[in-house]
Amino acid sequence: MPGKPQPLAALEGPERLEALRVRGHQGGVIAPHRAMVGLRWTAWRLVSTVLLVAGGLAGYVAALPWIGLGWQRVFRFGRDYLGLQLPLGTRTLPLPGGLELTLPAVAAQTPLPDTRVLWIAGISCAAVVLLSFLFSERFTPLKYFLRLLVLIQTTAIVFFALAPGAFPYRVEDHVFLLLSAGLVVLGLVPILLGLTLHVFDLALWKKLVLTVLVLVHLAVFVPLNVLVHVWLIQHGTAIVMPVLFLVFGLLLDVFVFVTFYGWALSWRQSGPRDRPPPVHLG
Amino acid sequence: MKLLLIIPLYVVVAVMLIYTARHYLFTLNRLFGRHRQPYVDIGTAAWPTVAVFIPCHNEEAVITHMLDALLAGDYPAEQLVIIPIDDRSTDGTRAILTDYAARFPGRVRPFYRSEGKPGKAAALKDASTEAAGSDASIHLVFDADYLPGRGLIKQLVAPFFDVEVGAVMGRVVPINVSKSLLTRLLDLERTGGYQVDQQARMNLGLIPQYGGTVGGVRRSALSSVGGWRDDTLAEDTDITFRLVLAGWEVAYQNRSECYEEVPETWPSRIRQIKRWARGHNQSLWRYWWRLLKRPEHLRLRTMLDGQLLLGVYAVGPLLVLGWGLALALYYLGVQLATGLLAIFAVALYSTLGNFAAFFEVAAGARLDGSRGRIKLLPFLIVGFLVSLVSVSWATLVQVLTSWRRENNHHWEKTERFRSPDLVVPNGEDS
Repeated sequence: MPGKPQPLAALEGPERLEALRVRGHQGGVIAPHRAMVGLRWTAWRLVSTVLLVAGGLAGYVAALPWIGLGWQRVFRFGRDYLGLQLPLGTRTLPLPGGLELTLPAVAAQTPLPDTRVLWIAGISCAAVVLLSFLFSERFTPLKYFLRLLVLIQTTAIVFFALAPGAFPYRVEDHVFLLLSAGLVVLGLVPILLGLTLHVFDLALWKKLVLTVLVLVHLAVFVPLNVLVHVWLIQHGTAIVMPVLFLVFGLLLDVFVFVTFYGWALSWRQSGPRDRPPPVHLG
Repeated sequence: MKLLLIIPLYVVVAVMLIYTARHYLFTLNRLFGRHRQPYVDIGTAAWPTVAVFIPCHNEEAVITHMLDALLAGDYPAEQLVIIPIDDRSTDGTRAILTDYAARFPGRVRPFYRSEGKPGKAAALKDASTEAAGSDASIHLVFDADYLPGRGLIKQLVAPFFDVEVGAVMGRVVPINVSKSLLTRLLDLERTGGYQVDQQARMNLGLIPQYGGTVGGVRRSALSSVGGWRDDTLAEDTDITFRLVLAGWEVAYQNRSECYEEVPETWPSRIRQIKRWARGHNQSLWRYWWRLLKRPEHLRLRTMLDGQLLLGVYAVGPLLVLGWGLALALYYLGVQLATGLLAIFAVALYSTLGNFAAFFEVAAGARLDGSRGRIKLLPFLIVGFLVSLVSVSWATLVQVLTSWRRENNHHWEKTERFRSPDLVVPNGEDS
């Protein structure tokens, strides 16, 4: 475990030399230029990273049955809260190692778009495109995003206009795919954090808290997001499914991860602040 | 049919994975590796003659700041000549340059162009051989909106004491970060690109890129590869690869920082990145085969990374293709592996241009000591979406019109936003 820095007098050899190199006026610290600083890689960092990843994965695996049960409860609650007339069931997801997980399933008819819905969708898309021309330059990214949505939605309109019977997904499939994808993302969280966050000089408890926060947040967010999808499909028909799947599914999960990651890296480093970061000049 | 879509999709995924792994290695190297900054301690030397070229086209809003900053530098005045290149400006740029030439005779020697091909590359080509003072042994180049610090010229010249170095690049730091979300995002991109990506390439003996400003070339090296080309939209990438192929080293100086003004409006940014994409793709087309043949002096890893560097803007259309294939397969009922879609999703948190992944950007900002900025990380997707569309569109148009042999060289400069009232001390009064 990393401890408090020793006073200069207690240091010897290279450690003393390094401490003297940054000793400034009245014992202050001369911070090196940002172009030259790096991070210290220690055995403790390696061990703690491995432990956090292993602990995160073990916690995830141990929590899987609870996640399955929790998601079923969320679905029951969400169905009642959103006023959805849906019969709920379960579906088994086979996992590696002979394990399996029971996920909530929606046993409802998938409403397909009729001509009226296709027209409404087409006119809405055209309206959004026209509206996007009125945006000021500040909203250029929003303009691009809306047009991207319209592009994907247009493919759905064309598909359902030409071959409505060939659409290969039911609401049940949509729900199952997104919940499964959410589980994969949850499983990847400890590994991704191990590769990208735990290498930094944050305190161990902060890394632990962040891991738990991301996992808990996603565990709650994934089923709620899928429930919103179901509500939208029930009211907007299957024509909204491609956009929901491709743009508001896994992408949102990754957005959540990156947001937490960015927040965590804005936290202060661990250890004493009167000690400058190391310089690795070769 | 499905197989025809799945195979190219996996190729796209493989490319994304290669770039992601590359930038992860860069990040680890920058965080924990030994840094190659061998020239940073050179402070006293027999400084060689230096010509600083500043290509200008309607730069009245910023050129005085640039000239004042250069004149205030600590490089020996008798060894330094400043050569602003005025190329057909229609505003007050020429008058400003003439005034400076009169006030600083011998130190500021403007080069005026009113004919020949327009554009930065052509301007540099002419001035590097014809301008008074162009016989200096080191040629540095700055865009007109930059604000070099007092010691920057010495820092950029120091690597040239190494006889193998043919080009040098310093770090670009935005000065107008707080103007808008766009400027903040561009600041993050630059941080990842320079603080991590360029320095890691320098550390690993790969190819740091000369970026066309805050850098320069050795005149003899430039001559040995035929000088600046005026038939390119990215003379910086072009000269980088010509020098490397000819056996010269490109050195990156992370310590040599210079302020620049990044675009403050999205249209300006879109024009800028489209120009970069077209120029970079042009270099990809010109040099990928020569690089692949690998001259004897080039290590395999340098060649491979050079190919990836050449391809950074081609990744945009490739990612669009990947999403298109994923959409088609979705309608065909092919349930793509979640991991595969996750790779695409993560790829959306990269930035084109320097292709810095989100963790690379975060690492750079943290090393810079500006932790607060990292909270903007998720919004990188905003800038990336605009860049992705712009770069892909520019590439598509470029490919479709590549058979046309037309003279499309003209000034494509980035809009300036700075107030001309900014005062930069030039040491005139001291």
